[in-house]
Amino acid sequence: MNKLLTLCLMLTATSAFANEVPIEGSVASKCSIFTDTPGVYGNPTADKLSTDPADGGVDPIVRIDVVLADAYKAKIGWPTDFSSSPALNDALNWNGSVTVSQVSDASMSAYETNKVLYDNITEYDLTLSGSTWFKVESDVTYGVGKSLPGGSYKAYVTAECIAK
Amino acid sequence: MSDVLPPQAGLTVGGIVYRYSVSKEVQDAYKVYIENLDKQNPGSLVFQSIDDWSGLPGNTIKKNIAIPDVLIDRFGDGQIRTEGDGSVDNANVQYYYKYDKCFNPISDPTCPGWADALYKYLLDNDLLKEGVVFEDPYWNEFVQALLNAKVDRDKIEEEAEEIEDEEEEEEKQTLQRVLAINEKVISLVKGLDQDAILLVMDRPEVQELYSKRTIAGGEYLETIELKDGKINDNARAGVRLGLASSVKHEEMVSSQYKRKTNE
Repeated sequence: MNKLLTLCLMLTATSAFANEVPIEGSVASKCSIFTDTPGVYGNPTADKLSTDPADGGVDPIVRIDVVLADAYKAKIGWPTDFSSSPALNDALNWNGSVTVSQVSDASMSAYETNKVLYDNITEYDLTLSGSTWFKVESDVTYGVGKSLPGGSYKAYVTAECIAK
Repeated sequence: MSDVLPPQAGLTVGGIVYRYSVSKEVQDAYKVYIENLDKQNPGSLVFQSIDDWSGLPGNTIKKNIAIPDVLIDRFGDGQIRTEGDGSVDNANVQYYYKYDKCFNPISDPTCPGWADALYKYLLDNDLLKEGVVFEDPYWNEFVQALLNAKVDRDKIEEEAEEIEDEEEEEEKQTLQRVLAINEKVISLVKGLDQDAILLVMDRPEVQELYSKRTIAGGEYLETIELKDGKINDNARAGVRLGLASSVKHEEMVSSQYKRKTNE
């Protein structure tokens, strides 16, 4: 009887066991952001910095490549503060804009018509696959006619790909 | 396209990149055609790309289009054609191309079918007629004469013997010279010559110096005397003999005794 009971216990013990089955996957990026042209601030007047080529500057250009159509939104923001600069003790007046400067498909020119603006952000609905170039214009004035102190000034443009 | 692509046989076009800017009103219909004519099929196109700007604002477009390799013989002149209201500015069209060196197998011996292509070329250009005499360098008359020249074995053996005799002669002469010197030495030990030498050595005046010497007899007493009966050690002799360390040791030891006697 004891042997029979032991045998039954052994059978029940071996019929229930656990194992781990892995599941792996990877996601390739379908939306890539590249800096096509880094920007340069010109100093047309003592109190102003500007990326306008007429002011001696260079407008930064960002390229966004989309593989999957109608799956992403692009959010591009012009600068609202310096990341590094000499000590400043007065207010800075920032201004900027984002426009589509070049497309790989004629239909992408509709992005400019359908863009959404708020604060310093311009949002584009990337409905087509391909490459789109966005030009950012930025300028800043210091106080009211106050001369900017000498030194190095740096600011950043933000660009994001957001899945819809 | 002859002034755009290199006029190279076997060249193929594999892609086109173009860029231009469009100025127009949003509501206007406007189409832009980027095309290349087909040289082998007049009236048709070998490549065409259409950009429809109708109802869209103008902008700059940049397109990169890959096409199956098309032979340059077929790629005709390119053109940018427009339909509607608008204008195209700053247009730029570029072609990707590559060259196949084995398009004509004769151009390179490493190409497949080079031998057959060369044979066909020779046939087509009547370079393989019968009776054509090729100048074989191995049939040059001077080369042939040299090859036909028979080797005279007797002459070679004779020359070898002559060389051998000359060597023996030279060896003999050398030996003779050596023996000549030895003969002079031998002559020295010959009896007559030796007697002459002894005779010279045995002259009376020479013998007299050795044989007629008289020495006075008697007792020879010692003239040297030791006065004290004691010979002192020469301390400096040890230094001269290289025993400086031993001398120093003796000095150090004896200085202890001197100090004690003083106390």
